[in-house]
Amino acid sequence: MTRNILPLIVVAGAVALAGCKSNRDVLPPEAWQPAPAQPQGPAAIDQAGTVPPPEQVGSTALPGSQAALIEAAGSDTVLFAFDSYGLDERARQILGGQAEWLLRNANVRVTIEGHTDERGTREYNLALGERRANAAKNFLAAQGVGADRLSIISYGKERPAVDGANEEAWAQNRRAVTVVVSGGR
Amino acid sequence: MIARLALFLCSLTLAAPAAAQLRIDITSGVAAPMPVAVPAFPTGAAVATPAGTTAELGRQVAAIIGNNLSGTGLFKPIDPAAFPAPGMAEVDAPQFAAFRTAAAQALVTGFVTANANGTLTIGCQLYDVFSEERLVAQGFTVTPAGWRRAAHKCSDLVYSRLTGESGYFDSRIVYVAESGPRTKRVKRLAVMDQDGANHRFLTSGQSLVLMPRFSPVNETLSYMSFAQDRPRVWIYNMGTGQQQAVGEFDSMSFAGRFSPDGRTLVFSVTRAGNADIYAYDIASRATRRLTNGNSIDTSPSYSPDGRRIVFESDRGGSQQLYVMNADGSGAQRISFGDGRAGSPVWSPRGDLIAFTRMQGGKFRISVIRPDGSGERLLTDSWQDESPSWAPNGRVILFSRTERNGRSSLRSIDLTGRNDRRIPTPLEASDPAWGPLLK
Amino acid sequence: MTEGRALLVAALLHIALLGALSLGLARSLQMTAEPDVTPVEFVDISDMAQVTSPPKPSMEAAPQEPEPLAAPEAMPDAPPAPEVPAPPAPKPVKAPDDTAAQDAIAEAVAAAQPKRPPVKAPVKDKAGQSAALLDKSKPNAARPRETSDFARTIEDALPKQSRLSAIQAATLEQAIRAQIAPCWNPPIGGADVAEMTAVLRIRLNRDGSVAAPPEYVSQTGATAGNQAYARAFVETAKRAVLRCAPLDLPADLYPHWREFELNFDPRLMT
Repeated sequence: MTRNILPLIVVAGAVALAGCKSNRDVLPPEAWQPAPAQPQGPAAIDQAGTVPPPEQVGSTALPGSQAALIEAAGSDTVLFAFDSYGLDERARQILGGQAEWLLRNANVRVTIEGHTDERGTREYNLALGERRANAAKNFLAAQGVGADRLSIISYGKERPAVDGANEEAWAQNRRAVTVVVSGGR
Repeated sequence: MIARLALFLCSLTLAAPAAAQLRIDITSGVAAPMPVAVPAFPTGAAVATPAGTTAELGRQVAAIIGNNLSGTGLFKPIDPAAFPAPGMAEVDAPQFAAFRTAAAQALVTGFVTANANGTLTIGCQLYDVFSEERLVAQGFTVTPAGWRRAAHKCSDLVYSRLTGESGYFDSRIVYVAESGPRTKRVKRLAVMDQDGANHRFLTSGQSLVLMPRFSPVNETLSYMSFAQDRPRVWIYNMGTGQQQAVGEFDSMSFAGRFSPDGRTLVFSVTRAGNADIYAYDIASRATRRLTNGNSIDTSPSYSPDGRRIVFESDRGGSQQLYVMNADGSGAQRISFGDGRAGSPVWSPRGDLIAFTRMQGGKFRISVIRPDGSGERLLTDSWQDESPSWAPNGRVILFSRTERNGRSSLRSIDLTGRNDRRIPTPLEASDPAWGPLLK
Repeated sequence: MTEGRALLVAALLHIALLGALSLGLARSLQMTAEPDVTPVEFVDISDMAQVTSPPKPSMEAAPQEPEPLAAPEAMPDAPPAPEVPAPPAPKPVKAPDDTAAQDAIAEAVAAAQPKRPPVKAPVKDKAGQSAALLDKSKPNAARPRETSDFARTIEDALPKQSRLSAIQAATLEQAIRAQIAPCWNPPIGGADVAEMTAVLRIRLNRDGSVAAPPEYVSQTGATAGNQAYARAFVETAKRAVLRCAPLDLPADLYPHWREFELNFDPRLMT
């Protein structure tokens, strides 16, 4: 946000200066501090007064967005044990939150991505990833979310979340991610 | 009378077993590469061709042959400085003494001639340096664009005559070229000659692509793509550029392999968290399910006679190898022992199945007989997987990932020797060795 | 002599000779199969002459002809006296005058042989071999010569010193094996090669170089399906000999390594 503001300040300042110079019809936008009366040209900026920091912009999750999902459920990702597709307590909690949100936002569709760590052959891991995605989907469907809103895809070990050959990285890669899809089909 | 008596005695002694001559058992030798001389192929007159002058081609052909032979681990080309370079006259009448002095046991010579119609003729002759016998004599006619194939075909002739194996040099490898951070890997299909030359990318990297496999029919591949978020298997003709989607499934299909006659593709389809093996008739586009059950059945591979399929399944609780008939009946487990087993491929010779053995935290390439006996681990590294056989069933190509994440292609001889890197422009994985070109 | 009586004599000789050969064969098999277990009487070495050079052969000492057929039962079990005690002795010792004498005799023998027409060569060899079987225990005995022409042929054809003691044979085998094995590069990894063997006949000159290209004798393990491997296998065996020729072998034992067979069997490598 601040990146967008800075050029605006410069432009606004230039406009203000231009206004000072010749055309008093153009006023700087109200939100800005009026630029101090300066002689024209870039040299003016060197003698500029203080420029206040940009205003804070809060983030609001638009309804039906990925961010809203995360906000509501706590996470869009559930993790799994090695070579397993069972949902543990934490996973059920998160998926429960997702289900509630999905029931409140009835027009949202999601794709559940299944992933694995690297410790399996490529083909098997594609299938295991799908098992995980399927497990999450079944849970959501059991909570009442219409199955036609839930599609799955597996990436096997092709899209790790974390790069690393250690237990911490592997644990984070064994996951199912619920991704809000936009647009029609 | 005496003469007849003598004849009887004569016949007796002839019938008597001879036992005084020494017979000595040589029960072991050494496994050492055979020194072979491959001098630059001479040419009559150095003629310019679109591929370079014939003299330059003669040098390069010899270099390719030497490189192919040394890559097997069974031959050692001798430094050309050790012997005089033959001229055209010596191709048919080599100076064997000079080659014996250089400690060569075999001599490969030939020639390069430019023909009036623009083609090249490349001669190929193999001599036994001791007996001075000519073992191979063959000429190849090629276009200037295909001159490398003549060198590979000559290498195949020499290699097979001296080892008894069939050749494998006139072939190509398809694989997945990888680049970028591991969390956002870009994967592209690529094809190259088995010695790394003539490398071409086949896809742009925009969609995730995996598991390219050659058909026995030239120029055709199968592979898996995530294009349009619909992971499925495709059949792709490299010559025409035509693509054909394999089946219409709502779920993911993957792990395709061709039958030895090129008419059928076996592959896996997921269903409610499980995966089954299907067969796809390429001509009629009909599909047929071969396995059924609450398990992941994948990585199918045909036997060279097309009658059986080896695959991996976790129906027994963990990933193991199973062999079934090509119609899906009679599945029997063949892998036992420590750890899991996956990604099996049946050798074109039919005598062995190569696969990935997962044990002790490592992935290692291993071979086993189709009846499950005689398992032998061939490699010992962090993560070796995706084995693929050379067309002669002697050399195994595979993908190695190191602990730091870097992946590359490697090959190893089925005796476990000669583990060597196959150079690629980028990182590489998921290789498949194609058939001998026709 | 009538036909009938001649046949009777021939039949009796048949039986007797077969019996003699069987006995002789049994003994020779026993020797080659268990060279270390030859039944011996222990002889105090100090009693024997300190032989630092191979014994000088003489026409009287050399076996002249087939023993009388009754002799085999009388063969003692003791090893013959002039055996060279230490295995490495024959090789390093090359006293020029001894070898010259032996050479002269060997040449005389060799000279005698080409007089016979070539077609009789197998006959002569077999006769020599059977004679060697019979003669093992009594090399020095002088025997009355038979006067028949045929017998003379046999006696002229016999190589001198046709008996090779167990230790000498083992030494020679070891020397040959040690020189050939490092030169053999069998095509391991080839289909069925682990089960293959091949026998070659080797003929060497006196200086150890090959007198003729190694000759294929026989092969096991070859089938219709593995012909290419079988051929490659035999060729590696031939190459092993040609690579490492000339061989370095004791000149005094040349009659025994002039011609021999090699059985290539990669069983220890696979």
